[in-house]
Amino acid sequence: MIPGNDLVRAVRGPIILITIGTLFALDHFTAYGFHQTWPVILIVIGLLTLIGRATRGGPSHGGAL
Amino acid sequence: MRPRRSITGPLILILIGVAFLTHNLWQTLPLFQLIAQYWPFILIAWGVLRLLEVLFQVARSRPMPAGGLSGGEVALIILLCVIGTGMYAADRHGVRLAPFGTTGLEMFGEEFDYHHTNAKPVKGTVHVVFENLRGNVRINGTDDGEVKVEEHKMIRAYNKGDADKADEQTPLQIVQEGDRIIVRTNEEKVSHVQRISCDLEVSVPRHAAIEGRGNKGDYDVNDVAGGVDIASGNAAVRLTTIGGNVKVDLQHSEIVHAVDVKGDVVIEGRGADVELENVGGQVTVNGSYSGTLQFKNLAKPLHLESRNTDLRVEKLPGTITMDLGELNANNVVGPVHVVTKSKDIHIEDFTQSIDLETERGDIELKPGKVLLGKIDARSHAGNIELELPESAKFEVRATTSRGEAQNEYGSPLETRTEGQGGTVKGKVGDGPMLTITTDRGSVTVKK
Repeated sequence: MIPGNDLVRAVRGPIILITIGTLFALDHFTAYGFHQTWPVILIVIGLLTLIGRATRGGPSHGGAL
Repeated sequence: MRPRRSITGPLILILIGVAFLTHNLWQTLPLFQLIAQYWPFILIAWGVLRLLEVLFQVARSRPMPAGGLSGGEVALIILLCVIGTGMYAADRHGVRLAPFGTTGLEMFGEEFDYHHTNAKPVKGTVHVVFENLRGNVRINGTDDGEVKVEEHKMIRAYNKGDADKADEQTPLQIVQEGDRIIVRTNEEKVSHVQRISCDLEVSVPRHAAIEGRGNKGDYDVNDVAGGVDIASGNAAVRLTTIGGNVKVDLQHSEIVHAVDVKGDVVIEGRGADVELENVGGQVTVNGSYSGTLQFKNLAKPLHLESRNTDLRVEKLPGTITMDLGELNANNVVGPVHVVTKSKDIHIEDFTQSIDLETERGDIELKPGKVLLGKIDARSHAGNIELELPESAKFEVRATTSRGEAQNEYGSPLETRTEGQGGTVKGKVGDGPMLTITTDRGSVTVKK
């Protein structure tokens, strides 16, 4: 089976990419400028890292990859 | 098992190909503006694509790409962000790229010039239609009872024989169809339309109405008593002394300039500058303009609607100047209504009521000698300043949720601080209600 940690690592890039795209789209089409919304990227990266750690600490998992 | 290579690379290649192809086939399509506006969706689509790829691999229990995105992809994404932001900023500041296809083609071959003249006598009221794909048209109203056209045709070709042939295929025609007189340059009859351009110098009976159709080329119309209707892909339009209604619909334009128009004026589409002066009828401007808009002496209501701004004025004896960051008005007759996204607003010498709203920007209001209507000004982020005439009678309430409330008017107005904000409040005689509100910024009331 594929460990959850690998999955999180694989989707991290695409998800950050989508976030950045969405923020720029918001900048162009709504009143929320990129200079206001950029911290969302940090939050997303933080969340992904947390989720990655949580899945690694699973009971069936032992050593490092 | 070797992990499959990503399909993103080839897809991007296809996308770029499609973009250039559409540009070459539909030259009037504002591709630069479209990309400048919508490029963030390329990032989103790219991300979604990669996400789907990963999920697909998971479903088939295949090994996954370790990092998600490769180093080359990251570099490409950063490049896209930089170029996209640059294009967006350039587009907002009115930069337009010349169509690649046409300039490329025009560099080859040699230019050959041809001159032709054609005329047709006309009676009664006339409606003259110009069908000229490429080239400038200059129209003058005269007292002669004929439509007279002098054509200067420029053909790019590798040799004179080809040019002569193209010239024969594109005769200058003046045809009567019903109550219309059609002036046709027939440029579309040759295969390489981009290689032919016709400048027309036209005189028409003064009472004529004008209709112009084209892809690229300026229109100058002078001294015509009928209406003027121009639709073009890319044109600078200059109109002087027009007796009827004016309608201009353009996909690109450097400038739309109209002076001394008796009828209504309707301007639609995209462009840079707009200048209107001495207009007797209603003025409607609906579209996206990146340059400066100037209005002067309009006898009837003005209604302007663009992506970020909605402006209504009942009458304009003075001037209104507006660009991307600023709106200045002097001597306007209300009710005035302005809703805008990010502009500093400065209005001086106005009567009747006024209703303003801006998302980001400062507001400065200086009413005329007598206050006749109520004032309602709101900014979400910006300072508001209200300068009242000495003798005015009014009731004021100026509020800021976060910022300083300044009373430079003195008594009987009172200032009160509430939390991070404050209010200037009070009544002087019996007059209209003046409400100014900002969420973030200072409010100032002064004499």
